[in-house]
Amino acid sequence: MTEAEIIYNCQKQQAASQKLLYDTYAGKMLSVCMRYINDKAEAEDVLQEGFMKIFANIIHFRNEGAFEGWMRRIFVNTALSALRVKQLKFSDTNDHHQNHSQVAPSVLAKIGAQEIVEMISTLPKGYRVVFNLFAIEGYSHKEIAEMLNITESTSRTQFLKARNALKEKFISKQIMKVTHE
Amino acid sequence: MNNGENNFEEFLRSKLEDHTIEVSDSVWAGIEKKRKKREVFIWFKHCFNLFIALDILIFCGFTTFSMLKKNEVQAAHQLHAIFKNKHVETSTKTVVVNEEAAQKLSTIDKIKKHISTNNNENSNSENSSPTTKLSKPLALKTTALQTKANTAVTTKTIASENNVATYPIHKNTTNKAIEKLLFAFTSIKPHDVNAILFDLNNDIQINDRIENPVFLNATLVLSKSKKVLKAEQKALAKAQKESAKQIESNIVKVENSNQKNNTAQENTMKSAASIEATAMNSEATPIAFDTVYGQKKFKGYIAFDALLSPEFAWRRLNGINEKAQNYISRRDSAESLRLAYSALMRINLFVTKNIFIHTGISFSQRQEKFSIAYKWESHEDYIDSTKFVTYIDPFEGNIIYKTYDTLDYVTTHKDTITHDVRMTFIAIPAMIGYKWLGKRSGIALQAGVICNLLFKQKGTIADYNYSANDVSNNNKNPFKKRAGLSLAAGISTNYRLNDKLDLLIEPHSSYILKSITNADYPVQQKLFTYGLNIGLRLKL
Repeated sequence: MTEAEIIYNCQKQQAASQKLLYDTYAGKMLSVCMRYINDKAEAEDVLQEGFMKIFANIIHFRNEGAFEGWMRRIFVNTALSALRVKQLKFSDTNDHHQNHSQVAPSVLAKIGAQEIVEMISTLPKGYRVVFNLFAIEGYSHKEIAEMLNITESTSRTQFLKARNALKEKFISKQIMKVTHE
Repeated sequence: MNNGENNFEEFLRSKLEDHTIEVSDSVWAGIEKKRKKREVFIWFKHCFNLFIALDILIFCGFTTFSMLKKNEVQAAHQLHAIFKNKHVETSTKTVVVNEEAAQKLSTIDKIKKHISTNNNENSNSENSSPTTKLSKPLALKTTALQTKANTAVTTKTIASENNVATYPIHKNTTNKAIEKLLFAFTSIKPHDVNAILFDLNNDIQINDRIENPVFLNATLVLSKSKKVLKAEQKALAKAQKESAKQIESNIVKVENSNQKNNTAQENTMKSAASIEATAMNSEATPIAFDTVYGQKKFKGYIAFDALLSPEFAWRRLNGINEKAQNYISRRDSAESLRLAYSALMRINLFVTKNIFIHTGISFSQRQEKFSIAYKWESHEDYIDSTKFVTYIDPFEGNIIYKTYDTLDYVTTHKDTITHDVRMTFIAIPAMIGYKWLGKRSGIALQAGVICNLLFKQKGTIADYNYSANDVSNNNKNPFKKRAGLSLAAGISTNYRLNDKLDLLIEPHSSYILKSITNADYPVQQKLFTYGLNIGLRLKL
């Protein structure tokens, strides 16, 4: 069954097609959620809620863009909503080094996607969200500022710090690998 | 450097693009469970909408039907009374009305005059014989009325041989009953009634022989159903056919016997007229009222209810612009269940055993309270410190010693704002219901509208600009002054405590049709509530 057929059937609320859609995208979308939310159980809750939103709103999907991109936006927004609730309850503190060194291509090549996700997940929440939105999802700082109700400069600062912190983590990770080897 | 940084991001993007993580089975199980719940909710929502639509339809249908039916039933009862009395108190005298005197009187007085004349001048009328004075005006009028009702059943009766309009006159009750009867038929316009009465008074010899109650027949036809009219037409045609045959056979007999004396012929004609009159009389049996005869007329009663209800209050927010939508998204995350209560005093009118209407006054309050995060900002504090790090350069293999002199200390936090508004509603419900009766208990479905009279707010509202405004400040109060119309429906169960008192328990819901915020406010808010009325009914 093609993606268009699956979408068409999902718009008719056919359970079998909904399951097929879930099987196709659940893993990928959980990866998206995990980049925003550290805890896997919480990320799965977001995944569940995101799929409920997709099944309820798929009728409004007009084939005007990529379906995966549309889904991804829903999951990102759902994850952000979940983070907003959590953010009300505690503040986050972290130390970070200033580092402007470049990561060599040979280092990058040896790092897997799972490791990247894990490294991103260790970033402080503010860094992580802005970094994901800007670097991975491709939102502009202006859009991020509107989405998170922060200033553009805060978004830029958070992103730069996140990038530096991440790079450092990359290097440290590689050091560890080299040490073990 | 920029290229290198872009490469770094592109590398991450490419790595993460197709990355998947294994999902546990419980996620899909949870989705299925939620989906089923949602299906039930949607089903319930459709049923609710259907229920409301049906109730409105039933209400409109019932109102129309009762308006149409009211006069027919009323007239039927009155006519029944006349027919019932005819065997007991019918006069057998004929009265001639004084034309000049009658013209001076009002319409009702005229007919009263007939009655009193009839009652007081019995001795005079004994000498009067049913005249053949032309009653053409009446015949024309009545025929016109019948044409309106698509029937000509009694035209024949009106244009009968004698051309005499008659109706039963009763010593005590008929005058009033006839007045009521005439006016009960809304299909007869007042000027028609006046015309008939005028004719009765002026142009006709009133013959109160019950054998030929032409006038009653003529008016009666107007409110008969098509089915009854058809049956009557058929019966009349049959009777007329039989009477015609009888007349023919009589005439043949007369001719054959060669008895040409006037007396015999006169007798034959009288016999024919008598047969026809009998046929008419048989048709005068009020077929249309058979269903009314013997039925005990339900006497409506009034009941007074006092009810209290805890309520679950829900709302639906709709953002006109992006900013408002963002506010709604935050508010949805922050706001949980809202509680409300209402008190209701109402009066019920049971128009039939099963159908009732009620109205009254309701007072309700609902509280909205939540804190909403409006700013997500990072504050940075710099702390002078030194950190010494040693690691092996992955590319060169050298041991690197690195010292950081300044570390930044980042705190991410949110600012919140509190929304605390108490809403007060005073409204008038108007509902119709259908009740099924048991021995000691009953159950009823009811639906209708609630018209809001007063909508007041008190407290602080967190508006879509994330500023806290006192709602008592009219310039910053986004709420309307009246909440408008609501649709309401419910199930009412009652348990009889004694002859006068019932215990009531009513699950109910209501939905305010329009937004309670002003049209220019970007966040539109619609309210709906589910509650349980508990109270007492006092039958008056």
